[in-house]
Amino acid sequence: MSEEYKRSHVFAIDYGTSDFKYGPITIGEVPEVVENRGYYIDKSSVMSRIMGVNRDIVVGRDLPSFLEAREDLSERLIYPMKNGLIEKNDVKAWRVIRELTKYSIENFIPSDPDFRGFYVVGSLTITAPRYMYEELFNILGEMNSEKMMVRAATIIPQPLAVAISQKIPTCVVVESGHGNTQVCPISMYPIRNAVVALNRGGADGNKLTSEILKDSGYGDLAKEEGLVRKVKEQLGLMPRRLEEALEFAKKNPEKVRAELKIEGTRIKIDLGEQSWTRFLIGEYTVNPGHEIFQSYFKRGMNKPSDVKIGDTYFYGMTDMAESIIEAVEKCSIELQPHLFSKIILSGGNFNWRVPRGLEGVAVTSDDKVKLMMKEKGIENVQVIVTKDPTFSVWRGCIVYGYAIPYDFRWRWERMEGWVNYA
Amino acid sequence: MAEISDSNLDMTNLDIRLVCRFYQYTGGWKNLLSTLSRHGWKKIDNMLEKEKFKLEPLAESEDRSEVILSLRDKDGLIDPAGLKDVVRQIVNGGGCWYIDVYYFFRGIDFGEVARKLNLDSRMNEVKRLKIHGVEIVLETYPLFGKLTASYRISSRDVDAVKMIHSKLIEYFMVKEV
Repeated sequence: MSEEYKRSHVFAIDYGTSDFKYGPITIGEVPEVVENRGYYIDKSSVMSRIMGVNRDIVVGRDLPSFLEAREDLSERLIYPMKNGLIEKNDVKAWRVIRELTKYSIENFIPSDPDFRGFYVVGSLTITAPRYMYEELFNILGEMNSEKMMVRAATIIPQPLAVAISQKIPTCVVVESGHGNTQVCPISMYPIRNAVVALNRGGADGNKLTSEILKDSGYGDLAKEEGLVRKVKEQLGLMPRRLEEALEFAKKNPEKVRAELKIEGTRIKIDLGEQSWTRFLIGEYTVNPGHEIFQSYFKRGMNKPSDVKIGDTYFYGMTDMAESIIEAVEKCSIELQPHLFSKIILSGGNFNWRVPRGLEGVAVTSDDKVKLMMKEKGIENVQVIVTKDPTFSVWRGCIVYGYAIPYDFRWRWERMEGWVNYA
Repeated sequence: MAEISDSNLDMTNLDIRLVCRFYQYTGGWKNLLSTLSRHGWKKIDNMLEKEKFKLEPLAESEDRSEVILSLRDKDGLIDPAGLKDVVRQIVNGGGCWYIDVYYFFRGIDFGEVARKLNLDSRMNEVKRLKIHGVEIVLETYPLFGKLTASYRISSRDVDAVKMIHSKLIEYFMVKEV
């Protein structure tokens, strides 16, 4: 097998807590995305017998069509990862990961007779313990029982994939996905003992958006998760400084007001007098400890809590700048200025835009984090948001798989190289 | 009051990549940067710009014998003559032995495309066809509405780029870019 073959058969999988992104190098810049979940079908039910359902687990695009309106739905619908982690003995969760991995690779196998398996690059959270690597390598090896699907595999931490996609060897990567946030200093390799993890991600922004929709008279829509996410992404704004933005909204209500039309439906969402709350959505992702959010917590919205999963603490309420500073200050003093000078924001939770007419009041994530760092006394900071931040881990995996030679064997001590299955 | 529609945020549905292969020496992105900047390309951050075109390095092989570049036109869809000029400059000025040109199409109407080119509209497929004497490899993923077309160009056959590009756009750009 040649280097040339490997370069055109790299396949990347980003195991996000909520979204599972996958695809080969030959699909360009945008991977496929399905939810990281699986549904265990009750095969003993009469309906599944009548309908001829002969599998016991469903993943991917077909999943919604199998969901039964049953009380035990939550037991059967498994989201395998909690903050990117899976317990070693959680058989049901690992089964979902096995099925999703198979589903993703199988759907992209070309009919080319010269196909001899993909070089698969998986990406896990930086906090993933060794047993998760071992289990995933086992799963990838088992893919070849019927036909050759995986020629070789490697696994890299998500923040390293981001640094690779940006080609920046010394930096801090803040990877904030749907479920959690990882702050990881990198100096060629991730500095694992300096990692700060947050039990907070895009899903928390959705919760606040749902409350805002209820307050604005859209209680009926507030339960629709997909729609709430759309509202957050299209109407949510990241304020430069929250107090100033709220003052601006009070004086210029029409400039802040916007109507969102949902394509293919008659639904139009206009927050009306509550349009100032658009700024809360962005602020909450970086600073949930602001006093303005207390009223939402008092009314029953769950606060992001501190949790310990495995050996890792995930903080709930620490603000974004504080997390970055904490991570950098765990590194050597000599390295700290270099780390502060390159902060990379990645993940869908950093995807904020500035609408025309709101420049200076609303900002992008990089400007916000830079300002927050400055307010905490950290100057000379360069913050960048990756292009299409939702996909930067996947892209980094593709670049990594393309670059490492096909005959470079996996070494546990360095956690790099290929595990060969051929 | 601003009006926002969740339908007007779609990404463009074509990306073009150029894979430059050096001959018997390690070139890499740094080499391309210096040679192309002598041919009027300006370095901006880690990218090269000339007139309306942007070249960005996406990846390079560990031995620096191959570099993947993303090519963008600031005005939108790359025109055939423009692509031919860029490929010529990279092959001649950048010192590439040959270039593999990749087109990544998304949102393909497979029913329509399958009829035109006799492709399978349900199964992944690798198919070869010839345009202007150059072999084009098509990799299709009907389930995902994606299709990749690629061909290899050396300094001898750069002129074919213009016609191949026009033909591929005609075949696959069902939706507006």
